[in-house]
Amino acid sequence: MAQSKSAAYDYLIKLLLIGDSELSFALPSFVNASLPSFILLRVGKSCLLLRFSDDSFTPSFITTIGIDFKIRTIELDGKRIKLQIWDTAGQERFRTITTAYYRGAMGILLVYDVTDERSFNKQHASEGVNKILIGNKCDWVEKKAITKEQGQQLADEFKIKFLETSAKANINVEEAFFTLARDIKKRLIDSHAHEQQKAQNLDKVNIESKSKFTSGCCN
Amino acid sequence: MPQLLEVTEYDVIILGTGYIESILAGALARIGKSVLHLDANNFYGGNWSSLNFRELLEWTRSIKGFVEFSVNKSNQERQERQERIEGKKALMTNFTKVRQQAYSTIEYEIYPIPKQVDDIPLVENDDSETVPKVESQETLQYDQDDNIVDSAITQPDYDALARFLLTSEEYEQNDTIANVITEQFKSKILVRTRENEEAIAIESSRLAQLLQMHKNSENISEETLRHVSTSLSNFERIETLAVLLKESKRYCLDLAPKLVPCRGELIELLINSGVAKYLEFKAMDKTYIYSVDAFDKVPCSKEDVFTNQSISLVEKRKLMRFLTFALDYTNFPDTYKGYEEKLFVTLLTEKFKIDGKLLMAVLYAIALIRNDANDVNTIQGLEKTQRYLRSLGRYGNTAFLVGLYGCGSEIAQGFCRICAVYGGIYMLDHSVKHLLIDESSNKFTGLVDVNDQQISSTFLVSSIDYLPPIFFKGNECWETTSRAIVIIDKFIHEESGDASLTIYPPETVKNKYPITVLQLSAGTQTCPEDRYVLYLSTKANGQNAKEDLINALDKLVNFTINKDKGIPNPLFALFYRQKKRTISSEVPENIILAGDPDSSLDFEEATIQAKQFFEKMCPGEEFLPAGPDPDEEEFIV
Repeated sequence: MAQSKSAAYDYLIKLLLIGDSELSFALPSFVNASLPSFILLRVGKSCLLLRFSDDSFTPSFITTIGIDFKIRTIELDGKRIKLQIWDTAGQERFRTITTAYYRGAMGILLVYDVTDERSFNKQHASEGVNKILIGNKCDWVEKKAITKEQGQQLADEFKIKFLETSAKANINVEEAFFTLARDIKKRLIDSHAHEQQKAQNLDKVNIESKSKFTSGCCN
Repeated sequence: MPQLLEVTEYDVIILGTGYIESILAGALARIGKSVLHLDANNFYGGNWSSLNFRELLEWTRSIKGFVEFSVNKSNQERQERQERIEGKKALMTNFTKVRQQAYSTIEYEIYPIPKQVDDIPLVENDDSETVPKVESQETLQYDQDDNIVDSAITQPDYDALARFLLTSEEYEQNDTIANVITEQFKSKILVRTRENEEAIAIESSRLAQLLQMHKNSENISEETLRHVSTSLSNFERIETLAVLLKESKRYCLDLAPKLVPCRGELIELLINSGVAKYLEFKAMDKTYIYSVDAFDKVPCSKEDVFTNQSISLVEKRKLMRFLTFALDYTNFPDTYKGYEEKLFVTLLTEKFKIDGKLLMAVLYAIALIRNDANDVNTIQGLEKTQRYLRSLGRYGNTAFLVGLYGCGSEIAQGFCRICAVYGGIYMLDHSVKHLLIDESSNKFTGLVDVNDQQISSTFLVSSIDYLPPIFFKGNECWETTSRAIVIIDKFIHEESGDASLTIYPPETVKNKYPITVLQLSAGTQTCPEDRYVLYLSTKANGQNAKEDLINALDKLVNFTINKDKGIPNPLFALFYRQKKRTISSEVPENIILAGDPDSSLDFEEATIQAKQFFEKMCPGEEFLPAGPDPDEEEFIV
């Protein structure tokens, strides 16, 4: 995270959306061997991402094609914070997410589907990044299988925050991303931890130096 | 529950996630082809992979195991037998066996971690320090943290145990022997950490294999007995192994380590395709050359030439003259007229009067000749020199970049992500049983996977590892590289930065071909702090990889503990030969065979090959054009 010269933003934060099946890849020690990996549980990660970045919703969204990551710059306490939110590119399906996806991530949105108990049971915690637990599709009341209390209980167990969202009805999507961004800002930016990180990145070579893109978390 | 696919028809199936396969996967999905990408390994990269320490040990054992116990005729026959599935010729694949062909003379060694005097909590009677016996050292090491050590077993008892295990008929089974050894180790190492247990298990099974091999021989030699006995009492080996296993995840060890030239095919491809945004690089900014027990820094750029103190003023002038000419040699045809077909060496010595150490530096550290300089003519030599010089200056005073977190599989994964973003489907740890060939057209039509699912495609891109054994005639002549991966505890050259290259010209350490040593530090995210990784490579020449490389390694690393405190100590050394295979028999025309890593230091040839394959498969289509820039699409509130 560094001050940008272009003044378009002050800080860059990399966020990930993690659904269910890839959790075992991210956190191998928590792998549940009986996990039915064939069944693709669509918890609506991409829908959340598109709602937040483009304010759009496509119900017929089947597989995620063509989304690498999305960008949205938000303002927090007078600072412009550019959120770079990465999608799993469908690689969570058979647990083949590439390592680069996880590198440099500062925050993770752990998403489960409130209408599907299996997606809920697989949520786990990991260290070193800020996390928020998201119960998506909360507009689908008649199908609801996980109560808000159950979600809150799991979040309390992991000592992370919790929100129920709906990408379709646009409920709490903004709040989810803003809450996570605020936590990261508090942990890294306000505590000056990013300056240390910046020093470590000094001798990295940015091969795209002509482009305005800044790789990973900081530049 | 098997991972079944909903869609069983694709434009292209790709087998293996090596470098060339992955570039093709990205390029094909990018232009809208439907791609299914499978790998039999549970990691990305195939023979180009970067592995953590534990994975590297497993890899070593999986390949070595077969080489040692490979005589299994009936198995061979079964593989070559042809089956028919739905009227198609079904050719059985054998990933494990075919992959093993690519490697030979694999051996690894584990060394004791050198103890600083301060590290050892002094045992109450200080006498122990003056007794240089093996046992007392062990007692010192395992006594710390109140770990009780039973020192009742003395060296002669290990001899007896070794003799017993080697001769007793009761212990015929590998498992039983391993169990006896495990118990023996456990009686001495009482700290029950996960890594200790794991290290004991690995060592026990290694020793059991060793014993099994010797059990079959009639006479057990003193040497064998000594070797087994020493291994049984070698707790330091287990200690080092446990430490390496503990820090395992912090290693990214490349099976075919390579560099990225600052100008060339790969770097342009990374930038244009957008794959660059998934990767991070650092500069490889120091090159050293060896001659008679000394390492000199190689001057490449103008600044380097001026500041270098190991060459005389006259030599500096000669070198500058040559470098200035080589950078633009095509504009000065008169300078090399008559030398075109002659050796590059001749041009350098006759025309530029460059000789001695400087000549070695130009040939092997600047032109980076990897084989015999007597095979390189003037034009080839000038091309190589120019390629190097052009790479300088783009990203500072360096011609090469090193990838963070390893090289081969990181880059491969970047292209795989592009493929996935454009709809490609990925399955790792997924093997293939049969390739299906239509006999009348002699074309590949599909395959049968591990779940007996039939999947069809128009094209197959495959690493050689997945090719059915029937295609190998057994008389192939393959390009072989001797390689070593060595983990050490100190840098080999002062001020060598995060990455450096050291070159031994031919005949300097009894080597026929030049040897290169790439050193990486924790700054490249490939090893923990206070560790360094050395990658050695040379064209194979002697009996085995170790023989080809050990003399070079010996100049850099201390194999005798406490011989010299200034020199780095090894913790682990893996030697192996890796082959770049070519297939001489005819393969159906819609099967594209992606090659193994070559002996070169960069990815340039492989990148060109990937591009050529793409053009053959999709003539007229654009090769990895840039995707939409997410920055431009930013949603404005």
